[in-house]
Amino acid sequence: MALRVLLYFGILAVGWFLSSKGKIHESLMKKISVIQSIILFGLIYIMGVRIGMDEQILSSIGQIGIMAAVFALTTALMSILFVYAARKKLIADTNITGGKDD
Amino acid sequence: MTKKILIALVLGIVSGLFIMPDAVYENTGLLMDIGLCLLLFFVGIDLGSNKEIFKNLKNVGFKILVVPAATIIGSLAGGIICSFIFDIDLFGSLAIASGLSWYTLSAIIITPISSELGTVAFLSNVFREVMAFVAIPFIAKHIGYLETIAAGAAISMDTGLPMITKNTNQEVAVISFISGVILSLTVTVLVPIFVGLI
Repeated sequence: MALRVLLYFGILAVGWFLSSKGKIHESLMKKISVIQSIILFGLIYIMGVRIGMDEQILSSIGQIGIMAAVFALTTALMSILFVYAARKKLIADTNITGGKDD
Repeated sequence: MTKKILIALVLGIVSGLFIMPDAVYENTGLLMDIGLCLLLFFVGIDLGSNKEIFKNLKNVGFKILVVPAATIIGSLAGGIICSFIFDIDLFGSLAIASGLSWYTLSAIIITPISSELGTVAFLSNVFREVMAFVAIPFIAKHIGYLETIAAGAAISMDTGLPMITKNTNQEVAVISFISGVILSLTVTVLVPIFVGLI
């Protein structure tokens, strides 16, 4: 895992360094959002392919799918709720919170 | 955005189920790694183009650590609730909840103790990752930026990072990576602890 974290950090750092030093061509900078979207949707598609081809997932969905879905939903919702409550108390910077107060 | 994500995901699942030959599966891991590295490189470029990021993050300081902390506490609270809903062992339920979307690791650690709990851990963390992908645009728009990190938990440093960056801003992208690293490290500690208590 440590190697993976280092790899991801290294790749981010290289992109950061090149961009901050102005080494990225302006025409590429303008296209970054489109390129990101294309790769992102490709990644999600491949993720779907993996799910569709994974026998472990397919064979267990029938038996314990609902239980797993409830676990996923409950843990994610509770995490969102706790982060929401904590940031309302502690973080006021709307640039970071997204400015959602209600 | 959510619609497009769902379409891409469903197309992928249908392709995987009915079209792709078995040999493709082995290569999808490599394809995902390449795509992810490319995306992270572009996220880095995005971050480097904004000189104000560190100034803005400095104003918030150590308070950003509240994001991974609250994410972990929230997930564990969710685990406690689920142990009551399904009437299963509390520590088993907490072990599943401690997976924080890292489905491979949590399932590998839990399965030797109980194959049923291991399978639930695997599947629930897969579901959490997929749900996060679909929900991040909605959460960013209607609830808040930092909550996008809570949805996917450990994936905030890798597969979830490009999605969070696209729907929030560069400051949140940095917090997301830091939180993702902390959350992933926490999985390696919490899951074995709770498995030991079953």
